[in-house]
Amino acid sequence: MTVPPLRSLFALLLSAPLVFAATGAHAAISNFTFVGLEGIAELNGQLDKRLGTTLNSTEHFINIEDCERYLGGEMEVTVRIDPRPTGNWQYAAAYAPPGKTCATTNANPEAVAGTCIVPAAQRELSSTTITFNVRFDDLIGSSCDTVTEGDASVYIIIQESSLSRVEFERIIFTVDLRAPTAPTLDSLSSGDARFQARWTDDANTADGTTYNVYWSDAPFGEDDLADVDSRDSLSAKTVAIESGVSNELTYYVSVTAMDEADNESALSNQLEVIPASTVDFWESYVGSGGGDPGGFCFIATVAQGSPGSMSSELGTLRAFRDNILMDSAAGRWMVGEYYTHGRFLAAWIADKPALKAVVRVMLVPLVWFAELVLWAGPVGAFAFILAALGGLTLMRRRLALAVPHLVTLPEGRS
Amino acid sequence: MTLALRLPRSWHLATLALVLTAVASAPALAETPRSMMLELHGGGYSPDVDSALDGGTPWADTFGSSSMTMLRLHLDYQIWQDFGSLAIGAGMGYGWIDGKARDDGGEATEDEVGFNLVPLTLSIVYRWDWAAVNHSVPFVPYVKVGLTGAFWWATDAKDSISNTRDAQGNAREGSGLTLGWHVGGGVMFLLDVFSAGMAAGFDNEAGVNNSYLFVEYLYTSIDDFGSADSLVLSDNALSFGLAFEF
Repeated sequence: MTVPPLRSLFALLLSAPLVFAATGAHAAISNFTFVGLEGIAELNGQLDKRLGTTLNSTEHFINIEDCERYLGGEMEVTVRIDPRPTGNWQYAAAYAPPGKTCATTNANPEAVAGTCIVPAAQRELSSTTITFNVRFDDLIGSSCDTVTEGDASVYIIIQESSLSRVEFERIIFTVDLRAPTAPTLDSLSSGDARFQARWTDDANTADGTTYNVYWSDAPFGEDDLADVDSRDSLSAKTVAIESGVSNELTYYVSVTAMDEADNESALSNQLEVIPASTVDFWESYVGSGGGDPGGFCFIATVAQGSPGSMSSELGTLRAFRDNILMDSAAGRWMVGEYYTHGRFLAAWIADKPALKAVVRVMLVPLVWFAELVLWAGPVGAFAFILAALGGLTLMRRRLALAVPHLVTLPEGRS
Repeated sequence: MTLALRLPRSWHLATLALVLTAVASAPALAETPRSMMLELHGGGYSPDVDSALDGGTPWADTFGSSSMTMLRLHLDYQIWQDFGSLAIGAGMGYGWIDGKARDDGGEATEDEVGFNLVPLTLSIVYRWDWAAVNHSVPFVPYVKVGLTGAFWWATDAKDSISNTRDAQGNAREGSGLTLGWHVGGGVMFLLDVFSAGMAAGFDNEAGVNNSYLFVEYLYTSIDDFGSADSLVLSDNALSFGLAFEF
């Protein structure tokens, strides 16, 4: 049968309000809040955070590991409708595994084994908080080794008693029982106490795929992953491993892929690398006889001459800087000021032999003082200096009494 | 070697006519008082590290013949304006270069290492801008002399400051501050001649009297004034950039 174009347009215009009215009857619940999930019995406190257990969570993942861990268990779902709608309302809670749905046309959805589980129906909405239990086995809907993925649904339906209005919320639980494919480790390049791994992954193209890199100084398999070093949650397909790596040692490296639900792939192929020492610019400069001592011990360096001639004194002053001064705010301020201004003084005296000699002599008590503080600690050094000053004062007084014409004490002191 | 630019005579005449037209049509400059100049430099820099060493060429070995990329900013205040302007100013730059660490056999490895330089400058600048100010000649030659202090640090493959021990076993950290001086000069080209109206608007709205393109040659001596124990970071370098007088 053919319908004249004008008539079909007219029919479409007439039917539009009916379509809008039908969809409007299943609006989202006003003032709805997802409060949280809590494991029941042996699962109490055991739910992983990827399940979206906390207030206002919008993503809820169940992966292979969760499936196995939650097997036979239940969780309590809590939601809130605050303030409650006015009038007489009923509510229902229902859930369906991936690929299945529950009817949401009223607060009495039909329970169908394996399709729609209804823990609560036609309950009076007398409180702002609704809680109900969900069995994981029914929500997941299949065994953990089915290599499937899909969205399970948890429904909260409310209905005004006169049947004029029905509202519902659907909370989606992504059930991902499909582990990603293992990536391919393409190459390892060695460096100085480091190595770099590069891999490709053509199979896992979904957003949110990350990678874990494992390495050890002995070959390893999937059962050994808890005992080997790793770097997790890498988004790039290359990584430089730069800590805990020794030169001249053979390292075995593998990589795995992780999907958004934290399912981990099998290990990739395993490659070997032997880090070896390299020479950077500064090492090459020093090795070529470059005389710049580096660091910032300007004045002492300039005054003492070549770095080799004053290694002991410089070492003392540097240890004093690092171990004593840098331990306090005042000391750090002094070091900062020294670095700001010391270089200019050092440059100024660099070509003045007489001045260098004077500074060198002046540095001697400073080096002694630094050695004393390093040996006795700040408090011990202070006590030592105080005792020394006391001893000197006593000696001076005795000397003044014994030989008055050599030592003059301040007026009124005897 | 002589470089000859072989262009038809008509091109030379056209270029000359363009410049003369631009110069003739340039309006009076410097509507608002001018006292400062901001220069933004870009260029290369090749520290002369290896020249002071007898035992090797660590710079060339690591970084090859490439130059550091050097960006600099210079600001000066004009303390005298008459037959040209005399200014004192300060500047700061950042230069960097990446290279490859070598293995025991001297071959380049995959380890990427680097060197970073932050020169700080104090300068006196004389710019002969009398002709530009009074006769709309769009070229301003200048000379610059001053002191330089350069912070530097060398990085290893882990991007940490490199450190090692010398033959005597002393720890040597690959960072420091080396002092020196600089002298040089350049030529600035007054951009206002291309759009006198836009230049006047820039002056009225932002107080920028003149905008320039410039090329600068600077000899920088950074070796703690000849100290034999200092990393030599001296170089002759060309830089290009934009300058704003306000």
